[in-house]
Amino acid sequence: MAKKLYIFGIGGTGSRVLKAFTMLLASGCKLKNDFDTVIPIIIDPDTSNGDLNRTKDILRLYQEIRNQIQQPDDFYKQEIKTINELANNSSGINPEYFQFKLEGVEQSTFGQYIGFDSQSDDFKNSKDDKNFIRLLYSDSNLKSDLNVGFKGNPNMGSIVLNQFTDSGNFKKFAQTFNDGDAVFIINSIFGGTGAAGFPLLLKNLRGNHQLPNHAKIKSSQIGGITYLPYFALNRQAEVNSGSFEEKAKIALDYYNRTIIGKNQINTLYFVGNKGNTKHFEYSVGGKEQKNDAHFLELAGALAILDFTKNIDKTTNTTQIKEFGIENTTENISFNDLNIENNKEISSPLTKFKLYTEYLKKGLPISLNVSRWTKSNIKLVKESKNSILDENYFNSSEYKIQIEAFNNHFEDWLKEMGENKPAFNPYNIVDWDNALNLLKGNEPKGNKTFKVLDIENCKLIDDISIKSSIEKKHTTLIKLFGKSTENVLKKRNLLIR
Amino acid sequence: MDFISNIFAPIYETWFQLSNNQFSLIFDTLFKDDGYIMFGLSFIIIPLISWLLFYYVWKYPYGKLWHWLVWLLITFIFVVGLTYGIANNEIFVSDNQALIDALADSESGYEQFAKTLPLKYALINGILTIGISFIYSLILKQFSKIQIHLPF
Amino acid sequence: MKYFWKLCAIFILLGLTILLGCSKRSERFNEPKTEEKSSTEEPKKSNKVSDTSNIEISKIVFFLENSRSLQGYVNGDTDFKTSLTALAHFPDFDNVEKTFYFISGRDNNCKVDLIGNNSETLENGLIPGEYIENYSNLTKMFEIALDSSQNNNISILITDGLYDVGESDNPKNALEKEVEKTQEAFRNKLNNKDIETIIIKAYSNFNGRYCYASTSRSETINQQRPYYIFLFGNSKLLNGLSKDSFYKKIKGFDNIARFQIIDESKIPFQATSLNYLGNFKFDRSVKNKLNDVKPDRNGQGFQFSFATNFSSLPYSDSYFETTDNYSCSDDNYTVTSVTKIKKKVYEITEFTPTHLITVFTQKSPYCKLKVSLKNVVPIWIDNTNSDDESNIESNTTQTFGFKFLTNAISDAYSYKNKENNITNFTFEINGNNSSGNSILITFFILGILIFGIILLIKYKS
Repeated sequence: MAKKLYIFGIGGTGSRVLKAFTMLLASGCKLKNDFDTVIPIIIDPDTSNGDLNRTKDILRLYQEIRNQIQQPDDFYKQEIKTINELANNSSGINPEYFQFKLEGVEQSTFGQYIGFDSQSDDFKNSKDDKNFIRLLYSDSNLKSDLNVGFKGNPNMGSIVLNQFTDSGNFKKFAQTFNDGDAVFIINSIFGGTGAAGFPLLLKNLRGNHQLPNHAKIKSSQIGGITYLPYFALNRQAEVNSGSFEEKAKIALDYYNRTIIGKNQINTLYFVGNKGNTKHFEYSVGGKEQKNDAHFLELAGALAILDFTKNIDKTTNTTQIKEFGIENTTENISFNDLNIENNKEISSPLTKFKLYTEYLKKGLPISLNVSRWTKSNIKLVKESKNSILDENYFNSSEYKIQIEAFNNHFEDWLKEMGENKPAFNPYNIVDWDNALNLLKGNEPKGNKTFKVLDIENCKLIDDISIKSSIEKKHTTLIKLFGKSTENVLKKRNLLIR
Repeated sequence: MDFISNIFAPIYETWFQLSNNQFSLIFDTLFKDDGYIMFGLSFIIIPLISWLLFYYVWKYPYGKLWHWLVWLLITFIFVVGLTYGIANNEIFVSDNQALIDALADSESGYEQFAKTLPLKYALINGILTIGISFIYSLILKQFSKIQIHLPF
Repeated sequence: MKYFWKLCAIFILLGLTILLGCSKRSERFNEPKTEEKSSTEEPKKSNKVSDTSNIEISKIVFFLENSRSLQGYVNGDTDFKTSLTALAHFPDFDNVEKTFYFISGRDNNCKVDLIGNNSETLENGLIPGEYIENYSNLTKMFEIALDSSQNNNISILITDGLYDVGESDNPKNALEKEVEKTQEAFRNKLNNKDIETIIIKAYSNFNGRYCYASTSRSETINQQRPYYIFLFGNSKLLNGLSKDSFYKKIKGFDNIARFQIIDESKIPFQATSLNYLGNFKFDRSVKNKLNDVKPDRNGQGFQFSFATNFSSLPYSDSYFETTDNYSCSDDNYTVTSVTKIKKKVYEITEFTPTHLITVFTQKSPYCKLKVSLKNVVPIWIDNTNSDDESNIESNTTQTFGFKFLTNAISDAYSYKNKENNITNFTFEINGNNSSGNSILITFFILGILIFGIILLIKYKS
């Protein structure tokens, strides 16, 4: 039976982990145990957040590309949908539906949100609500602009985020929930949104009887990943990265008593990295908050895969899992990962990497020269002509979808490579040494893109890569899914 | 073998008018010693092997028209050279004593005439090679994975 | 898809049918017709004319006609005497038993008198006093001479060739009657026997009384007169003698005529590329078959030549080289020249050609042509004949009634001969059917190829 996995990505960390997860899905990773649809839900009041918008853009591109592939079986295999598509059974792509909007947070301060100004300060009649509030929130909290998030203050987040569980979007989520579906929640414990949102969300999932299908949701498998501090900021101001650890401790204590102690969640993953961190550019939120991709976000994506893989093994007692790598190193590559993780992601990512590198550096040589790019071959069957011709590669769909997504992928890898610790499994390649892609694994024989071109020539006639209906990217994606597989397999560059 | 010679002989003697009753001994020798069969197989088999290599063995995905033309030229040269050698051998190193005597007799005119033949046969085979190469290309490209777009 | 394969199958079947049909056609051309023997057969070695070896002369019997009409030939030192002496001492006769007889007489009283059994005794046969008989019966003499030529014997009759018809109002009628007898005599002797007759005409001085055949008169003359040496014997034996060295011995030798039982000689021949007009191709599988024949573009007609080896035939070069001695089965063709081949013809490997025969036509050249070397009576025989012996003084070359004599012999042989030609040469002269078969095959293969390509290209899944 087809099952759905709802992934709540809370705050900036949630967005970034969802981004990493989307990249893995694009490269061909798929959830096990019949989870055929992923429904990402981003919860972040910081609507102009750079990370949020980037993730939404990536999710949108993923959907647009996948919609143009007939029965994808390698790259873009996993289906991603929005709540709106499920609820309304529509196929329209709108990235806004990936985000649960918070009402009343735009253009208002926290003080305005809670109606601070309208509270009484009649201390004489014991109605001094204002001062009571002042006990809990500082002036800067009250004056804090909500549309950039909670600036690392979960006490604010816990108030504002309360609303969304009564929101229409959340009700839609509940309406679409079925037996067998599961939920995964991504949050950071040191932030504002994530720290507040996670327990709130969990409480509602397990205990809100007002929700449609509340019984199904209550008894469903729920997993989550909580990020402990893994980065720092280059200066301290409103957001103080030096307080990240302190906040994490407090939150962990709370989790232990409530979430873990009461077995609210089936599997809880923890991941963090103390000490060896890069200092990001300081930003309180908004579009300036665009943190570079980090390896631990990829680790978070691995947690999602692990969760669904082991969903049958979950018990009613909360399982705690931590992420680790085999070797202590500042430059992580695939060989430093646990063998299971290595097998899970190295092959898909390497194939996708080769594919993106080829389109950037190899295609200009072969376009309109190699037969797999020619649509004007004379005196042959019509089916022998390729649809991946100049027109295709110059089309707007290719440029604004495929190229755009591939650029995001390249940026994602580059950022992880420049982060600390760096995740840098790939060499910089060009046409002549294209197959010398994987660090520490130089293949024998011809290393140029010619090998891939030969493989493409052989596979272009394969009927299984052709689309019987008008789906523009079917041939490209399926062709490269097969050709990268064949080429890398022959050279023992795939770890399975 | 006469049956097969009868297939190839008219190509040279009738189509290309390479025949002369005055020196019929040469042409009879070519006929009886399977010289025509050798010519025929040269322009049929060599290009076939050549184009099989081109379309199925040569794995170069950036082949252009000029590659095909160069291959054609190489095949042409090979066949011309081979045919020249065969013709030379069949005529001047034959077992036919009568022909040997005729060639040795400078007054018979045989030697002078015979000397022009190897090149003529070679060029005829060259022309036939071009034609049959074209036909082979049209057929073989249908099943080629990599060079299907050549020559066009 | 089914349609595609059906079409292919039909095309292939069609092609195979055409192919098989063409094969049958070429076979038909190769088969000889029943009524005529194919010229393509390897000429059988004729054991009549070609094989002259392995038979030796057992005995030679000389018959000298010793009627008075021959006395003048032995009067003095004459070429007659010289020739006969040379004949008797011919080297080829050295170890052969020889017997010399006089022969003369009238009707059934023709007598044969022994002169001697060796060449030296011939002298006794050349004395004028021995030539006293008044009459001679040529027919009877022929009979006796023919009888003596059985087995491996040769008989030689020396005569003046005059038929003695006695007093007759109509000598010609009388001759004709005599000729019938002669003819019958030859016919009888030729039954089941291979006897060849050679007539050699020679001249000698005649000094004596010329006895008229048609009257009882005689006249003294001293002039050249012809005499005749008749040789009878097995054709193999006589062919072996028929060489220049033999004839040179006969002083005053003029000419020769030969009569024999003919079994068509199979002598080798082959069409050549010499001396031709127009164009043609030699068929490779069928000898002497010309294909793609085209007359000369400038309207000069069509001509070709063929070489043959006449060495096995006992005729002179002048006989072979006389174009009138040839005939063509197709009236459009004529034999225009027959020459000796001096240069080597390399294209001919199976025999050594001696003569080149050229045939020509101004009309349509296509036919099955048969060129025949006829068995003709030489012209000199006609020229030698005289119907009137009245003016004998001025006549040094002719003999009264000679034609009648030779006609008798000729007719007897003609009666016996099944084949009137000495040998035949047959050719097939075709137009453009030729390598038509081969070209058809070639085009068929090409057709299949191109058809396949077109179908392949047009075929869509």
